[in-house]
Amino acid sequence: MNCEQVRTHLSLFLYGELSLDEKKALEEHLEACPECRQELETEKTLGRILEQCGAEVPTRLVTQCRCELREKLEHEASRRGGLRFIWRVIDFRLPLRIAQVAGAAALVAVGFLVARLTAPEPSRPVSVQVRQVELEPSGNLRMVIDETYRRKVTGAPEEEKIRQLLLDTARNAPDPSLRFEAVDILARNQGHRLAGLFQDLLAREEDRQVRLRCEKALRAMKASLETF
Amino acid sequence: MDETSLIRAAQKGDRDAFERLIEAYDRDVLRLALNLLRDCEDARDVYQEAFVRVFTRLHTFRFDCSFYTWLYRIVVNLCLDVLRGRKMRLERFTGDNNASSGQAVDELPEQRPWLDPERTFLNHEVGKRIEEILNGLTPKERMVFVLRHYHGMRLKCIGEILGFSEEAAKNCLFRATRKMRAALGDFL
Repeated sequence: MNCEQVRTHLSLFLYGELSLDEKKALEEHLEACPECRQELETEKTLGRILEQCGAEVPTRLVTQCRCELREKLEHEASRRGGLRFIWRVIDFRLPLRIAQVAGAAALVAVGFLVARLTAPEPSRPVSVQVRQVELEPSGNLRMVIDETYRRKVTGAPEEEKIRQLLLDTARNAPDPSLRFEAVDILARNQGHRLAGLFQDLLAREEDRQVRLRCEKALRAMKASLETF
Repeated sequence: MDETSLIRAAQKGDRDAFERLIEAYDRDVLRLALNLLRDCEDARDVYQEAFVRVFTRLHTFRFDCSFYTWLYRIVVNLCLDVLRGRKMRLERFTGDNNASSGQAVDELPEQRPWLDPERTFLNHEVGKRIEEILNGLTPKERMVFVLRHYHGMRLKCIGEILGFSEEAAKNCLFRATRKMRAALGDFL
C-alpha cells in the first residue's frame, strides 16, 4: 500500500472493517511511515469528536414512549378485534380435562406489585406460570400456578397505598426507568422523609441515573437542613 | 425464556412476551431514531409506529433473519420516510435550512448531570456542524454512518438491513467519513 491508499483506508481500519490482508498491509505501512501515523491520529480525533455528539436517550423519554405505546397498542388491539390480535394470556395446549383440574386446584400467588395492595379483578391474568404438577391418587392433577394480574391504581402521591407502591417500585422494579420515575416522584413529594431509602439505593442501585437522582435528593435534603 | 421462545409466544398472542420483547429493544430503537433524525418528536413518532408495525406484523416474521435485523429494518425504513419527507419540504420551501419542526436533540433537557447545566460552547458548535453535515449526506450515507458509528453495527449487517451489499455499505461509510472530515477540519 502507498500513502494515498493507506489514507483512503484509515477510517475503515479504525472501524475494523478491512479484510485481514488489507489490515496487514496497512499496519506494515504505518510502521514505516510517520506521516500516515499522524493521519491515523487525526482520524482517531475525528472519531472522538463524533462520539461526543451521539444522542443519549433520557430515561424519562423512554418511560413516556412506553406509556404512549401501551395506549396505542391497546387501541390497535381493540380496533383490529381479530383473534390473532387479542392478547391471550397463556397457551398451555393442555388437554381440556387437565385445564379444568388446574383451574379447580390452583393455588394463586399474585406477583404483580399493584395487585398486592388491591383486590384482584376477576379478569384474566397477564401471565401465568406453572410451579408444580402432581398426580393425585384419585387420578386428578394438582397444579400450583403463579398468576399475575394488571390493575390501574390512581391516587395522590402522598396516599398510603400509592406511597407503598412507589417505595416498592423504587426498590424492586426490574426496569430501571420505572425505578427512576418512582424515586423522582418520591423525592419531589416526600423527599425529606426518605433519607434512608435514598442512602440505601445509593449503595446498591445498579443504574447510574437512579443513583444520581438519589444523590440529588440527599443533597437537597442537606441544603434544606442547613438553611433551617 | 430465550428470544426465540419469546417471539413465538408473542406470535401466539402472549402479551407479556410481547412487552418483554419491546423492553429488550425499545431503548436502542429510540436511540437509533434520535441519532438518525436528530429530532425528538420525529424519533418518538418513529418509535410508536415501529412497534405498532411489529405488533401487527409479528405473525409474518419467519426467523429467516434475526429479530434485531427485522426490527431495525422497520425502524430504518420509517426514518428514511421521515428524511425524504423533510427533503421534499425543503425543496418546496427553498431557503429553509431546517425542515424539522419538532424538538431538536440539542434542545432535549440534559439527563446526564455530570454534563449539567450546559454543554460547552465548543460541543455545541461541533454538534451543530455535525448536524449540518448529516443533513448534507444522502439518506443512505447517513443511515450507514449512524448505524456503524453510533450503533457499532458491522457493515455486513447494515447491508442486510438496508438491502444492499457489504461493499456498497463500505462505500457509503467511506464517503460519509470523508465528508465529515472535510467539514470538521478546523476542529481537528
